[in-house]
Formats: sequence, structure tokens, C-alpha cells
Amino acid sequence: MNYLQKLTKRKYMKYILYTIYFIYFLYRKYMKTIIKSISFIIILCFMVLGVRNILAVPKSAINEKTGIHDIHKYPNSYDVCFIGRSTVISNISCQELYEQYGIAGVTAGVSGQIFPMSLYTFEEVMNYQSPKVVFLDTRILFESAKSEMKSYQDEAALHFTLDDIKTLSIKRKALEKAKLYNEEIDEWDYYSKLYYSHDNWKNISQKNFLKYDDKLTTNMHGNTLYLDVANNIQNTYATSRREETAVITRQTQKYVSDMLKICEESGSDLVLLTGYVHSTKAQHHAVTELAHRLNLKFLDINQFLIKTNFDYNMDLYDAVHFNLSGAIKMTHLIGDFLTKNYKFSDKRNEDAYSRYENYRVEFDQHKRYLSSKQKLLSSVSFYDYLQTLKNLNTEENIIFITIYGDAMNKLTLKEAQLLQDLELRANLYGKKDGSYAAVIYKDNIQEKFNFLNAVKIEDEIGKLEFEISSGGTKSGERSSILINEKEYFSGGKGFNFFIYNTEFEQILNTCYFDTTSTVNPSQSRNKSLLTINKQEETAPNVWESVE
Amino acid sequence: MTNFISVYFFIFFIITLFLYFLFPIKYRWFLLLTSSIFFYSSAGVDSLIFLGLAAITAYAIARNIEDVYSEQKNNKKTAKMLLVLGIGIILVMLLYAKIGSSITDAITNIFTLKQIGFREIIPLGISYYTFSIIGYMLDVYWKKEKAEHNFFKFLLYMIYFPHIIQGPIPRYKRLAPQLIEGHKFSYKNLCYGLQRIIWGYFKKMVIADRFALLTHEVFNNYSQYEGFIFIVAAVCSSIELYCDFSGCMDIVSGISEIISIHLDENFRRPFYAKGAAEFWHRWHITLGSWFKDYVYMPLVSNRTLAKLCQKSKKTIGNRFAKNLMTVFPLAVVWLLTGIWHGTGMNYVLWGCYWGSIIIISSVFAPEFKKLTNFLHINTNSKGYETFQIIRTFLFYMGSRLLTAPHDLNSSFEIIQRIFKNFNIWIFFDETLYEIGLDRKDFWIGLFAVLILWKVNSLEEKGIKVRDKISSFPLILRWCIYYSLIISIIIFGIYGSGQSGNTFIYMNY
Repeated sequence: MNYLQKLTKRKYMKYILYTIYFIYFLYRKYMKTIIKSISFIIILCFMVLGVRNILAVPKSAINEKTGIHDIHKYPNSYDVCFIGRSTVISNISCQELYEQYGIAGVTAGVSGQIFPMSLYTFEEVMNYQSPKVVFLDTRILFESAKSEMKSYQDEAALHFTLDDIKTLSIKRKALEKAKLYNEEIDEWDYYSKLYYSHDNWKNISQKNFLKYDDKLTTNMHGNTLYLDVANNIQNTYATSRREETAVITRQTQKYVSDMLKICEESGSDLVLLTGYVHSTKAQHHAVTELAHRLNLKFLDINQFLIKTNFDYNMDLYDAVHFNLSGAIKMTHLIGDFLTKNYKFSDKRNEDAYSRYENYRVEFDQHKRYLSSKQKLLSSVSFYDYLQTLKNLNTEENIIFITIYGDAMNKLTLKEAQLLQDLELRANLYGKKDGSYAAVIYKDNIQEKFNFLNAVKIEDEIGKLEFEISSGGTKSGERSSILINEKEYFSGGKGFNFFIYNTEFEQILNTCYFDTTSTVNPSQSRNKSLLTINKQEETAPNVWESVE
Repeated sequence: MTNFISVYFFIFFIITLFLYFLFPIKYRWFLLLTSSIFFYSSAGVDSLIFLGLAAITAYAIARNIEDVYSEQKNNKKTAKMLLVLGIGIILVMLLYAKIGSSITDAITNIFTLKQIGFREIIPLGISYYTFSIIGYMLDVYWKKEKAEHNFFKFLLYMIYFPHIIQGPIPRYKRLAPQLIEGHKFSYKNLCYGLQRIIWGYFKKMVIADRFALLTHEVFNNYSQYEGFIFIVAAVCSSIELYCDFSGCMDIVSGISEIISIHLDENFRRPFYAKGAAEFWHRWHITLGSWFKDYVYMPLVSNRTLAKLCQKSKKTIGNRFAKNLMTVFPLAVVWLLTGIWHGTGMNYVLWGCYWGSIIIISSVFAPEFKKLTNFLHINTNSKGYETFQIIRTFLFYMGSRLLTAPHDLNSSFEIIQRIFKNFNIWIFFDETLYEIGLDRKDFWIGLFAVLILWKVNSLEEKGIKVRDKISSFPLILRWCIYYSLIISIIIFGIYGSGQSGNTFIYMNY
């Protein structure tokens, strides 16, 4: 008591005690109300968040793993950044850049993006990163003046860029300009996912409650890995003429200058990059002039096609985009350029870059898949095809084989032996008119052969339900490969192959070898049996029924 | 920010609320004034200047009238002149805002002058605040009210941000003291106010804006439609207007209720009205009562009119001469009501339409009574009541056909097209889902209307729904609140392309 009395004698202590008592009094009086109100608001916030997560447009794996996502997640950690449109997304592999050169790169490209959207993306990147080198995709330099207006008016394009941008000042700047071209823009669509996607209740499905995943075109460090092969793409660069028009507008040049200023302020180097083969000599010349004027380095893959061993038949996904093997070649070109002109520490030994290590296995899988695909596609003859099949990894691939009509009759001994090298028990050499079907997966081989009657194999492997059948000449002459109730037999009269990759759950290859024609149709993937040389045959072996 | 649906308004409102309760009680009115000026200024400097001029005029006139009364006892003549001057200035401003551009166009055309550079200004809420200050000046003139001596307190009465955009049209004696007197925080008022605000947003965003998609589609492209589609559109338009306007009133009243200010009710379940007159006692109540107090009653008690009615007894008979005392004022009131809503001929016709119905039902009330007796109709039965309610709704729906389309020509063509095709099958094939609202939207709208109808019917039976909800257990209460809020978030019509959805009565 004496102590308290002494304490309260000091004036300021009185006021402090009164204040504490007043707060305590308020707390006691309104405690219930305060707790109720706060609980109500917290529960409401959770509900709103839950609704937002369900209704917000389900993002594909591509969007989930965009480069911008990584740029936000790992600030100031990248040596190299790529800015541009889909050509930097697919035609470069930052994973390869890391694995081969130890350089940490990321792609902040957006499909279909042009200036000024690229400038906003670039500003966002530079807010979070301090790369030594920034590569700018030259494909965005050749848009007309009207395109700028269109890119502001097109809300889908705006969303593509602005949805990934966290810096409010950049978003605000972009939206203010966009509103000049399109009054209907509601800026809150870009600030709030729920505001934008609240109408999705009409299209709600299971997808809204699951994390959507797309394995085939996965996204590593902002890159899309394409695993398909286009063919018959013309080399437009070689056939183009320098005298053709390629204009880089003044506005575009100004955007590049703005980028250069920002790079200079942050000590980064800006490099112009033509990472696509669908370019022209006129465009190359225009970019060279721009690079010269602004004192920038310029790298164009079209000048290094031979050096990179670029194959128009195997390295393209379509006319503009590379598949993974093309991207790897492009990346090697960039890697060589970077190591020649700059010094980077090797990130391969650093824990901070373990995210690259986490992708190694997946990346190898992708490379293997594409490599198998390319080999199968490039196999000209039946013999080559069987050779490739022999080396195919049956842990990851299911091989379906059916034979139509009297195709077995046309087998050479070597080809029959190659078939047996696939661990098929049936010796099909010299067998006339028989029906044969086989499924090879891991150590499990199912095969059926019958001389007189048609054969059928029905089973399922994982999500794959199949029903394959074969009929020799005496039993109706047919072949069918039905996978998940879809027919893949393409009507070829011969040996039919269907190869399914279980890792990617995609068709690796379908092919038939037509035994009734000696002409190889060059436009399709189907082959005919060449080099049918009956004189190489030896006496037929005794039949073995494997039914 | 002047749109109650915008995010900026939410932010403004939350900050204002927070500051209001932080300010000392004595000066809270000043905070309200500052916030209201800030709110109104976002509509543009022109609007603020107009409002300022109107405020200065009304304030000065009222003060002078009071001075005249106090200095020169009962010098009504001078006071009247001041009143006429004040009302004249205010009305000129109102007319300038509403029809100024049409007049200058007409002058330009008549005198083939070069285009007069008229800058169109439509100050926000001008129709509402001009009526409120005219009413104030009249109250001072009739000595029902003392003039406010503090200009800023008077300005607050005019510019108070919840009511300035769409009303309700306030009465000085009821509102001003509440605004000036600072209010303590009341948890109950906070809850009730928020409830009302949420209910208002539900009506506006889930029902009104949803049906607006259908009505806009049909009335903007009427040449593509026929028959029952217009009936459906008229019904939806009727519900849309009610939910839009009453929703706004709920928001406005809810905002005021949080700070313990009670505004006059503007709606009392108008679709339960059994006659046109009753309808207008339940719809836009403050406008109706304003016209009654400041136009109808003065006309009814006008001696000149009384003398005219006396003289006309010989020509039109006793009964109709007596009725003239109410008919003439009613006609004037409805003409002015129509003009208040808009200066187009369709609004004038709309006013005449309602005026005619009310006058006819009043003048011929004995005849209608005889008819029901003749037909042995029990006028107290539920069936007859239902008939009356439906009949009143049909009157109202008919009036929507005059004002929902752009102009009178469109209205007439629409009415013609209704009779072109008896396409009742639109209710059975998918046509209804192809006129602005898809299937899901249509059924959500319908379900929301059912909820609204249920709430209104409970209120009509005398059950105070808000008190009832307050008596529920906490979990049930919160479930109701969360359901409403989440349904507004999910089913509300807002976002890109919809952000221009303002309130309909903001345009008057």
C-alpha cells in the first residue's frame, strides 16, 4: 500500500493508471461485442477467400509456374531474364542453361504479348530482380502502331499481363492508359481476382475444386517444354529477301530506349534476341540497325543454324516455336554467348538454387520422351523402326502391336528377329495368314497368335483401357487398336504400332507399315515395307502357338 | 465515388464512420459536413457550385423572411415576395439543369443562330435537394419552422451524403436536429444499419441489376420482339425499378442508422397496395408527401379555386363541382410529378396516366361501389384483395411501358407489338433464356424475388423481420448474414461491363 501510495503521488503515474483502468473498463464492458465482431469479420474473410479460391479462374500448370511467379518468389536471384512473347517461353530452356552452364535464368514472357505490355512486365521484373543480362525478344519489335491500341482494348491481353503484376503503381499506370482506349474497363477486375471471376459460378465444375495440372506442356522457370514435332516447315529466313519491309516504329524504339534506361540504372545489360527461325533478313537488318544505334548486343539464331545443328524436321513444334530439342540448341547458343561475354558464378553448387535440381528428373524425362519420339519419327524403314523400338524404355512406354491380313507373310528374317528382341515369344517369320496381337509393358508381355481365327486382347493398364485385335487372311482380315474406346487403327494393311507413354499419359507414336504397297507416302507418318527380299528367307520354323 | 456500388464509396464510408465516432460528439456534425462536401465534390465542381448557389439562396431567403416577420410584424407581402424570389431562383436553376440544352437548341434553330455554346450541366441530386430547400423555405414562410442561423448547419441538411443522390426528400424539422446532434456509438444501431445495407445491396445487385439485363435487351432492341416478351419485360422492369430504388433507400437508411440518424421511409411494400392512391402512399413516400404538403394542400385550401368550384356548380352539377376541389389539385400534382421525373413527353404522359387513374377512382368511387354490390362481390374477401393487388400491379406495369423505353414513340410501338403475336409458348420453350438472361441467371433472379416476397409478406403481416432475426440464436443469425453477403458477392451483377450500373433514380 505504501508503495502504491507513493506511486500514485507522482502525477503522470495517476494518468497512466487511469488510462489503463479505462481501457480495462472498456474491454470488460465491450468484450463480448468486440470478440463477436472480430469473429464475424474473421469468419467472413475466410469465407470470401474460400469463395475466391473456388471461383477464380482455375489456373493451368502453365500459369501457375510462370516466370513471373518465380520472379516474385525468388527476388534478386537470377543472372539472366528473358522478356518477350511465346518465342522466349518455348524456344529457350532455363533448366538447360542451369544444367549445362550453371547460369540461373528465368523467362518472364507472356504469350502474344507486345509493347507496351512487355514494358510493364519488364518493369515488374526489374522491381524484383537485378539480372546481369536481360534478353529482349525481337519478335515484339515488329508490331504496328495500331497494335498498341488493340493491346489496351483487348481485356484478355491486359489480364494476361497485369494479373501477374504485383506492383500497384505499374498496374495503375497501365490501367489508366487502358481506360483511354477502352472506357468499359473496370480496374477492380485487375485488383481483385474475386471481383473479376465472381461470375464463374455459372461454369463451376470439379476443376474449380482441384488444382489443375497439365503434364505435357509443363513450365519450368517460365518456359514451356513442347514435346511434339512439326514437319514440312519451310525455312523462311533463307528464302526471304533483305529488300522486304521490316519496320520498327518510333514508339517501339522509344519503349526499347525506356527499357535500356532502366537496365542502365540497375547495372544490367540489354541484349536483343531473335530466338525463332520464322524471321526474315529484313527483320534481321532492322534489328541490327536498332542495336547499333542503341549500342546493344544482338543475337540471332538464324546466323547460327549450322553451328547449332538446327534441324527443321525435328526441332520445331510449329513454324515459330521450338520443341524441347530446338530449345536446348537455342539455349546452348545463348549459354556460349553468355560465357563468352560475361562472368557468372556457377549456381550448380548452391543450395539457394536447389529448385533447379528439383526439376532434373522431370527434365530428363521430357528429354527422353522427345528423343524417343524423334527417333521413331525419323525411322524410315520397318527395320529402323523395330531397332528404335528395341531401345525404347518399356518401363515408361506401352507398345501395342497388331497385324492385319497376311502381313506376317512379308516379314524378313532380320525383322522377325528384331520383333523377338522385343521379348515376344512368337516367331512370326514365314507364318502365312495368321492373326497376331501383342502388348508390351515393363516385364509384362501379352500376346496372342492364331492361325485360323482372329485374336483379341482386352485389358487395362492404369487409366488405359484397351482392346486390340487382329485377323489374318483366313479370319476376316482386320486390325483394331481401341484405346479408351477410341480407334487408332488407321486402316493400314500391315503391321500396326501404337506406343503410349505412361509418364506423360500421351501417345508417343502411332504407325502402320503397309504391306500391300511398295510406295512410301512421304506426307504421312505411315510407312511401307521396303526391301522385301524373299530370297533372304530360310525355311520356315515350326509354328509356335502362343495362345 | 458517388455510386453506392463502387469500391471507392465503401472505402469512403468506412473512413467516415471511423472518424465520426472518433470526433468529439459536439463536432461530429462538422465531420459529416466535410465528408459530405468531399463526397459530393467527386461528382464535379459544377455540381458543387450549383449546390452552393442553391444553398446560399435558400439560406438567405429563409433568414430574410424570418427577419421580415420579426421586424415588420406579419408583413406577409414582403415575405411572400422573398419566397417567390427564392423559389423562382431555385426553379430556374432546376430548369436550367434539366432542359437548358433543349431550350438553347430550340432558340438556335428558330433564329438560325450559330450554335450557342451551351455547356450542359446536370448537377447530381438536383431534383432532390431543390425540393428539400423549397420545402424548407415554405416551412419558414408558413412559420412552421425557424430559419437556421448557421449556414454550415443548413448546408449539412442539404448535402448530407446518403440522401443527396436519390433522397429520401427530407423535412428540415425531422432531419436537421438529428444531423446536428452528435450521436453515441450504438452497437444495436450498427448491427441494424449493416443489416439494412446488406439487404439493400441484395435487392440492387442480385435482383435489380440482374433483371436490368433482360429489360435493357428487350427495350433497346424492341423491333426484334413481340407479344408476351414485352409482358415479361414489363414485369421484370417493374421489379427492377422497385428493387433498384428501394435497395438504394435501404442502403441510405442503413448508413444513417449506423450513426443513429433515422431518415424518413420512402417505401412501404408498394406491391401490396390495393389501389393507385394507396400505391403512391407506399411508393416514393417522401415525394408524395412533399407534393401533398406543398402543392396539393395549398391548392385545395386556395380561395380562388373554392370560388371557381362554387360557380361551376350550375354547369357541372353539385357532385362534380365538389370533386373539382380535389381533381384540379390532383391534376396539377400529377403533372408536376411527371415533369419531376423527366422532361420528355413520355414522363408527362406518365404523370397524366397516374393522375387519371387516381382521379377516376376517386370521382367514380360511388359507381364502383354500386358495381361491386351489383355483382355481389365481397370486397372484404381475400380473393377481392388479391384482385385489387394484381390490378394495381398491372397499372404500375403499364406505367413502366411508358417510361422504360427511350421515348414515347418506342413506348407506343412496344404497346402495338404486344398485340401482334399471342406467343404464349415462350414460357415453355427456351425463349425466355435468350433475351438477356440465361437459364441460371433467370432462376437465381426468380429465387431472389421469392426471398424478397417472403420478407415483404412477413413485414406486411406486421412481423418486424429485423427484430425477429435479432431474436434468433447467434449461429442462425450469422448464417443469414453470411448467406446474404456471399450471395451478393457471387450472384451480384458487377464487374467489367457492369460497372456503369448506377441507380435509376440517380438520373432524376
